[in-house]
Amino acid sequence: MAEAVLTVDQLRVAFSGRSIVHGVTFELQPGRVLGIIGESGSGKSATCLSMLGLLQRATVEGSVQLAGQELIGLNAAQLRQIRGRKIGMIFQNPASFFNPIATIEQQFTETLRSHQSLTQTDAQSSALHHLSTVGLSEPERVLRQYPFQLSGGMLQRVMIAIALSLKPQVLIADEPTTALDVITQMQILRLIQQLQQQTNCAVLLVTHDLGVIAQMADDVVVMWNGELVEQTSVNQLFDQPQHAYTRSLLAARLTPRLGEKR
Amino acid sequence: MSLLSVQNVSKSYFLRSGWSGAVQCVPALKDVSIDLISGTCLGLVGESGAGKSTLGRIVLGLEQPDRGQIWFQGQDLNQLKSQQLRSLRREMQVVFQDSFSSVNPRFNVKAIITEPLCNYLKLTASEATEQTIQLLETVGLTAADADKYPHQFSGGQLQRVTIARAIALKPKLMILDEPVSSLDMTTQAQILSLLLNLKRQFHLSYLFITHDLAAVAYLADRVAVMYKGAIVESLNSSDFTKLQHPYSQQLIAAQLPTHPRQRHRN
Repeated sequence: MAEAVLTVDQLRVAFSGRSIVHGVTFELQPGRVLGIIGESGSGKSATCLSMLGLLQRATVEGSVQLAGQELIGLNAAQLRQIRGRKIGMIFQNPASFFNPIATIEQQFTETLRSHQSLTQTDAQSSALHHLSTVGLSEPERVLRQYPFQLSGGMLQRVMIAIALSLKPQVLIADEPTTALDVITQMQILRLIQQLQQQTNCAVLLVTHDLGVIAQMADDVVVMWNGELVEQTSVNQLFDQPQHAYTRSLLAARLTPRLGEKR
Repeated sequence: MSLLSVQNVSKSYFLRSGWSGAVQCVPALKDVSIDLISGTCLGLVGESGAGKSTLGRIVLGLEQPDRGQIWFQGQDLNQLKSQQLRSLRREMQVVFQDSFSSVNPRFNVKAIITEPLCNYLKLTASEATEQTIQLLETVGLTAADADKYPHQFSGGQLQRVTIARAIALKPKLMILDEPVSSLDMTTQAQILSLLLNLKRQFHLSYLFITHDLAAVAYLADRVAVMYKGAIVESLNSSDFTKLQHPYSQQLIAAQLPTHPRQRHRN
């Protein structure tokens, strides 16, 4: 097996002495999609956010290595070099990710120019290019608009364009489609899949939805109560779930009952 | 016989756009008719902005239709005097998507659940307590939860509280407006199964608003598809794979796979 791009070893997260994530260990292989599944409060998001130092007032212990570089314990300036450029992130709620009073152009070029030495004009054309790769039909118009003028699905596309514009090695997608309706959800998932294959970045996909896992993941980590309870390939997870929680998760799926007589 | 019959209802909103104050007419419902048979569940699916929630609000009397009639238990809601409407309101209750914004954060559970009861009945303190406990147990909570406040509950538990409040007056009709959309999957399944049991136990009728076909197939007897303010087709929910309209087809195609082997490929 190729060398892991991200290695998480005994990661522990605590808030004011209360432990939220108790020692999680997993590896993310290059070009693969690793799904993290668990119910709300199981520590999925805390695991991801803590890697990037995005949890304020949290005590984070253990080790997270990105292609050999230790991330835990980095200072703010060092973390800024990692965030965005090496590890991109997309979040559940695009409306709260954007600054409501700046245009998409201002926000996109700010990201590009803070990591690369680009003139404003170059940043603009780069932004335009990346917006057209995420299937937005009128990228010029989108650039001039403010976040509130775009729908949830469009904002999610813009967020994906921004995250992938810096060509990160790892993309963390934290419930990227939970706030979207089913049709938009499928479009966004297919888009992430397509871009992931083009850029060959590794994806850490956080979700509570087994359907999203079935559609997207190569490997799966199941979290429950701040612990990693199962780690397996996606087919194994659906065919031979090991942990009781995983089995209850599979049993909670509604879809197998489709069309059955109640 | 139909408990609820919505006949040719239209509704438009007027938006003032920009500084100029130019008025724009947005049609939310276009000549919508639905029938809900007593004791059954009608699933109303459609994309966001299709007018599903507007229809729910019009049935509840929270909005007035521009045209058309709402018949409930054989009475035309528009023709009723406020006194008659008040007694009919008992029979229709609602559960919203966001449970936290549909309860008063300063009320404890007992106050939340007994508020509708106290609006219609004179309850002594001990009767109120007894009713609260009974309702909490019906929805899978315990007597100990009666004194708690909304912030002490998870989303799924609080949704059980709002369901207890909705069934407190033994209504005939419940409008379920995306009741499980913001919950995680395990909780969704628990709440849907609770709703199915309550429907059988109390012979409830549901107007179930959602964009999740799997949930419709689980809970609903009939499904109606809304697209841009109009009902484009409706059929028995067990036949939902036979839906024809291009939007319905898109909806079916966008269902997430249940197993990685059924994955949608590029």
